[in-house]
Amino acid sequence: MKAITANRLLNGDVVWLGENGSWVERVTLARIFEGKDQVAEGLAIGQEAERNQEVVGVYDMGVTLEAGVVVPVRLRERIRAAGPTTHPQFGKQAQAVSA
Amino acid sequence: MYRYDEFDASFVNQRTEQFKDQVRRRLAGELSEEEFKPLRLMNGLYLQLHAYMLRVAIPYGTLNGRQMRKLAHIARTYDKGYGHFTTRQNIQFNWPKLEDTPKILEELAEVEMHAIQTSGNCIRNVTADHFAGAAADEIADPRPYAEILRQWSSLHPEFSFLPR
Repeated sequence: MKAITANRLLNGDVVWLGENGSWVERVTLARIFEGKDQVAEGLAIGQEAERNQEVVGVYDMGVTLEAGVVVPVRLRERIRAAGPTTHPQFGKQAQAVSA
Repeated sequence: MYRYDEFDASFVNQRTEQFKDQVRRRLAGELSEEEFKPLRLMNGLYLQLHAYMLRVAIPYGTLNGRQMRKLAHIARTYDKGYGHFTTRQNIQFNWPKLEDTPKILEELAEVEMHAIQTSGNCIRNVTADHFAGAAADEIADPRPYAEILRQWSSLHPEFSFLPR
């Protein structure tokens, strides 16, 4: 089970590929890709977005469902999804919790 | 404290203009990320885990009040109100937007500061005791030597692409 992630070109924000080719700011809203073919399709959408100057550094990352909520598997990705561990007042963790 | 001469001011302004054009070309799609990455790194701009990061040099750890106020202004205006001073006497802003970085470099140039050679395999910021010139037990003031080293190492072609 994978999600496609990148950073937004303009401001560097961590984003995930959501539904309809949009880039979302919350991992919980990320579209889930299962199997090699789906992941390749997701990466192709991401690479197109790179060519359109929307995002940079597209790659796929492992996710799992915890109580129906999308959660990154690796610690690195959990930190990216939350914000700096040394500054809990900054990053996504400091914004209104929703979704 | 060393003051920029006409050459220094012109050089830093030219470099800022050059980077402004590079950012414009990147946002317009004329440069790919692969092409742009070495250019932004030469100007101290990284893309890190959470956002862009701009590293600004503080040559031999010496700042005057005007420069310190400018750093605070940049933190408030273009970042999240703070910066990290590093052990190698730089300051890092952790949340700048790509589109704002040319303006930040312009503002830095107004107070004789820049982000050149704060990244990459080159001679980095020249460091010294931050109490240089102020310590009562100082034997010799290292700042003139540090400034000579800074000038010698800035854009030195033999030391711009060192191995790792």
